[in-house]
Amino acid sequence: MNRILNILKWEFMVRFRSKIFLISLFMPLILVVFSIVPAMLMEKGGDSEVKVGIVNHARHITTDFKLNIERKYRLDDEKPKYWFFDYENFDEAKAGLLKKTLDVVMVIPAGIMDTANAEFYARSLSNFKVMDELRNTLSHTVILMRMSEQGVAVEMAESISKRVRMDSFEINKEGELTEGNELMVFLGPFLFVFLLVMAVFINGQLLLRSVIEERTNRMVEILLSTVSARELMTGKILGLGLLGMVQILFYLAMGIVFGMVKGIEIVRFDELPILFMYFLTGYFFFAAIYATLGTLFDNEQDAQQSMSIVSLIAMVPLMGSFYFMANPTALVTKILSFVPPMTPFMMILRISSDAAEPWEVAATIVLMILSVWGMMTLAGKIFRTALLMYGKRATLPEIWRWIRA
Amino acid sequence: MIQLQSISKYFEEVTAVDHVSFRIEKGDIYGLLGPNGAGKTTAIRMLMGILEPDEGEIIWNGHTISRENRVNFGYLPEERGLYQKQKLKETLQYFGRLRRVSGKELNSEIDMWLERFDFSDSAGRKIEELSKGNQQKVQFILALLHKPDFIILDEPFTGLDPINQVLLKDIIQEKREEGVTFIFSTHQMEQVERLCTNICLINKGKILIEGPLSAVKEKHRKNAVTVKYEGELKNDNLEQFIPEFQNDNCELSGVLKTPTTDFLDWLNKQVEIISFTQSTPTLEQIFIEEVHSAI
Repeated sequence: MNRILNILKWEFMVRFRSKIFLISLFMPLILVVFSIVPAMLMEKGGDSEVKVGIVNHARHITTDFKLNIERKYRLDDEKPKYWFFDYENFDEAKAGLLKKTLDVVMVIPAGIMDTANAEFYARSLSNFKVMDELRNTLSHTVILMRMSEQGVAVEMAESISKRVRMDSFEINKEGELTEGNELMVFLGPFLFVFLLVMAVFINGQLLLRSVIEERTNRMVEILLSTVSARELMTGKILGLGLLGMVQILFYLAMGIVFGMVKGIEIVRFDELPILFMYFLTGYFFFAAIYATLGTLFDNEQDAQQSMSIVSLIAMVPLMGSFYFMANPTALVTKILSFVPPMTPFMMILRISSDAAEPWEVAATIVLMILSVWGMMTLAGKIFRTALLMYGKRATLPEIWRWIRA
Repeated sequence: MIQLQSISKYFEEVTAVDHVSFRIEKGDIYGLLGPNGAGKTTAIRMLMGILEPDEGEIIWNGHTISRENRVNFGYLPEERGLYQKQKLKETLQYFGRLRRVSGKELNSEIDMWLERFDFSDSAGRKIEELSKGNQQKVQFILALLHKPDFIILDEPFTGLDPINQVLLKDIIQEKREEGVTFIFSTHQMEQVERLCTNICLINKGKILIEGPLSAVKEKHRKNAVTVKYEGELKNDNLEQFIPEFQNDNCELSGVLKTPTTDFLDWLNKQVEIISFTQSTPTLEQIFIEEVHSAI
């Protein structure tokens, strides 16, 4: 036990003090910032003037359309966001677009009231916010005009076509209401799973590198003359697991601080023990695989290929998180919750959606503990034999023989 | 006292060590010799508990050896490395703790060895900043740090300059006088002749010669010949008398495998013999002869 503790301490301290750890600690946060900030910026504003060329074949509508747009969309300095320029034909407008005197061009046909079709042109369609605003206002204008033609007074038409606003609230287990923030309700669990996946893989990668390093520099000869292969593997896995916990606690602290500033509950404290349980079992499951891969390859490049297959399986919950969170009780979501490499991540998503039954939580935790035990036993057998094999890559029949031995 | 009792190790169809037995007394420096692939490293790994024997038993002081016994063993493997990015003193502390030395005792032992090997100013330096020779000395310290009773040194002098070779030899002799037992594996036969009291020569996993160095040399004494001659001696038929010979500048040497009279009768017909001496063979000559005759 003392020797395992010594290895644990060494692995933890060596990695904790390394630059790679610092980078790996902040890298997921940087990735999160890079993926969220642009969306937030787009939502918030950063608006600038947009010059719209209108090829106008339905003047009675465009007059109202322009007024509606001007009323609705203003820049921070209260100047209109959209500036309109009328064109008789599309070619002239297109030339303006190409010369960059216009940002976008709309073609409003004479029969828009019947066909409900218009056209939108831009040098790039990436600014879907502009397209959305123009389309929604045009659509609203056409609906009002149709009502007006049917003899409905303008004020009444406005009133009839007024959209319903739905305020959303979350009710927690104590029955307390909190005002809903759909974005954060989705982002919270997604980010937690994302950081968890990153922590598992970053530490798994460190573990793999550590095993490969000790094999290639032959330190393993001295180590194995002092400790057993099992003690070495256990010490390493625990040391890097502790490092992962530090990482997760750091992210959690950041999340809580962010939540306090924003007044949002990012993680429910009563769920934390279960979330940690999933992290630990998930980490140990993958750590056993990574430690084994480290013994089967002489360099990291060769190990990467096999690693990518393992990583891909664990990435499924992350890649499908939109679907799984929207459909937490769907059959596929439930089935994948019971597939060990994905279980921890799937269950965190489901618990966050409040869609996991207590028996499912208990069953998946038992499943993960059994899977970790099985994987560690398999890994131990391969680790012990493959650790001293240099220069020769193990074949699958050989690995199978070691497992059965 | 450590004793190997008919130990064997098989790797699939290959027999790496084949019923090897020997006994090493306390304070002995035991030379484990053999050509590449003879099974030395496998035997050493079994002694250190890195591999388990498939057959046979290892006895330490009258009892079957255990992991606990091996905590007091020191090991300098032939294939060696260190954590390049870590600091010298921290690396020594880590391995000392794994060998159950800690606290003040560990630090004073580390300081003593660092001073002895002229590393006092390098304690805080990273291993990668040390020269290859100095890294080898660090590995030697790792084998000695926990005051072991039994030390295995696999090619300890490779890559060391003559001054450090002398330093290492002095330390080995000192430790031997303190009662420490050594296994010394090397291809440098002159080092074995200078240091070892007993030797074991293995090839293809089997023991070819085993016993006190003086007895081994005595056994081979009569057969080592040196002949000075005049005339031209062709190599073609020499092998039937001396399988491995050196024949340069009218001087022939090697280990004779036939009766001396038969050889001299034949040689007299080929050349004019100026002088003929039968000398004690070098360990290298014995090594080559035994390995070749075993093929």
